[in-house]
Amino acid sequence: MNLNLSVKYQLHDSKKPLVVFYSVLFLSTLIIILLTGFSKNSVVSVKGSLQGLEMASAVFLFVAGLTSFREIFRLFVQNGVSRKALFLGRLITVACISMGMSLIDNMAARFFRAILPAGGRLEYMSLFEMLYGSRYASRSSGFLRLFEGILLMFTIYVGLSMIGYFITTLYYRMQKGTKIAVSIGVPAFLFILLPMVDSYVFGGALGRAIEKFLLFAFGFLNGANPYYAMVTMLLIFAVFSGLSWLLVRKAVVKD
Amino acid sequence: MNGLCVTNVTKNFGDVRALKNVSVEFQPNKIYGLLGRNGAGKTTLLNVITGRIFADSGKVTLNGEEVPENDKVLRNIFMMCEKSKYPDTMKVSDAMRWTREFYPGFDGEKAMALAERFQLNVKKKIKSLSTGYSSIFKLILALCVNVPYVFLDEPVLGLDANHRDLFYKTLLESYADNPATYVISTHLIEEISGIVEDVIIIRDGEIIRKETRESLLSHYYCVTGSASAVEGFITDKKVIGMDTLGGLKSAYIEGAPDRGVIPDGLEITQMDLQRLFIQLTNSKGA
Repeated sequence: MNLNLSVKYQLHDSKKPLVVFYSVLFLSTLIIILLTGFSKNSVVSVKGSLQGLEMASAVFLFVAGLTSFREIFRLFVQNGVSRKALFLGRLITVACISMGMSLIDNMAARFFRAILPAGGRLEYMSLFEMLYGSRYASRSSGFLRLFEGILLMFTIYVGLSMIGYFITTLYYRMQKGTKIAVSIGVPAFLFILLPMVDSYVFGGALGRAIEKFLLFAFGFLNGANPYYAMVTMLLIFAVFSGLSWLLVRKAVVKD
Repeated sequence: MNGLCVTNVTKNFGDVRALKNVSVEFQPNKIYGLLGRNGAGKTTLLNVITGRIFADSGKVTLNGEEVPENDKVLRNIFMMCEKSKYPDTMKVSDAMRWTREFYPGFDGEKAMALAERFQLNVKKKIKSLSTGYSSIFKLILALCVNVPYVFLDEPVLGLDANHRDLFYKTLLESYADNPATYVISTHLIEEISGIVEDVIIIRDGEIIRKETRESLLSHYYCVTGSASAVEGFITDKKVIGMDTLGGLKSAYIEGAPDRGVIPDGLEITQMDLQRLFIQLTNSKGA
């Protein structure tokens, strides 16, 4: 199987967008830190915080997932690479990039926190700390915090990447009419019909149930446990990988 | 079984049956001409063979191994198609570099030499190439991949006469240096007539002829003369088509001419491939 080549190309294809993304993200963060972070006394004495830059990475990976099928599929079909090699290569590429970005983001969080002076106007807080920081309030657990932070962001990244990949493969397989129907129907159902039905028929019970389920799925029902979120995101990754494969395995070249 | 075999392949697009139970075999190291009218099923057949689309039934094998989704086998097949499958932002030189990765036998030096010969700027992005140079770019890849089976779908699209001539010469050079099976699907039948060894004619999704060019042409002849003389001559013959130009009539006849009984005023000639193709694909009964 052309698996190595599939991974090699897909990693290569992601290299440039990744470099641009991190260049912009880190430069803008550093500029903010340099402009405001080192000043204790200022005319405008507003305290602020840089929070959850990992969200940008998550959005980047979701969008990258959305744009990573058509061109690569056509190129691979042109060059005798099977759909199986393409798809397995995608899974490995997503895992590698997600792990790399999780490491970078966690290290960057530590770096930004380290360079910001204590008591300064600006403080840095990672997404993981925002969500699950309370878990470490009573104990000093630097390694565990880093480990869990890396693991959580990795699972979030792979999950979101595969959701993006699934959407793009789904749209690739659909006919024009179906695309329009889904593009209008799904948001209309989720954001208009469902809230209306919930409000008028269930008296908000559905919304509360969904909220409770999400709190459970992401480990907030009893305290803050990131392992619930990790399992949830891995399940999302597995389900959307399975669905994507069903779409990829019979995908054909469209001219 | 040696060679690339298409067995009982059927492909439908909605209500349209693009391929009807097609069976055809491509033997190693031969140049084939795949001929058919627009919409006859040529590209569909090539797309099925190369795994770009899936057949509804039937199978495609190379030396006994199934082709679709088989990386090991697919490495032996390359198809140049009308529309580019390369990313828009990719440069010609990058496409050559990646082709070498996908096809280890790709001859990069030859590709650069051909780019110079065809005056193709390898620093250009693929999307910025004109139709002709886009064809040249794809042809260069096809001629340098060094795989046993190369399928060329409308290879000379947008090429001027000089470049077409250069392509045919380069193809024959490549074939002489490194024999492979080339399948050329084109509408410019006269131009490939002298190149192809075997001819496959497809009509309405069915293979109606597959034999060597010489054998195919030997089964037909043309008789030309005054309308009355031709009409008299063809009464007991199997006519596949006729043309009339002024007072002259030409009849295309299946079979071998009996030169001993040709009436005065009639001229017997061998049919050329294009003329034969037109008659075979015009006449439903052929």
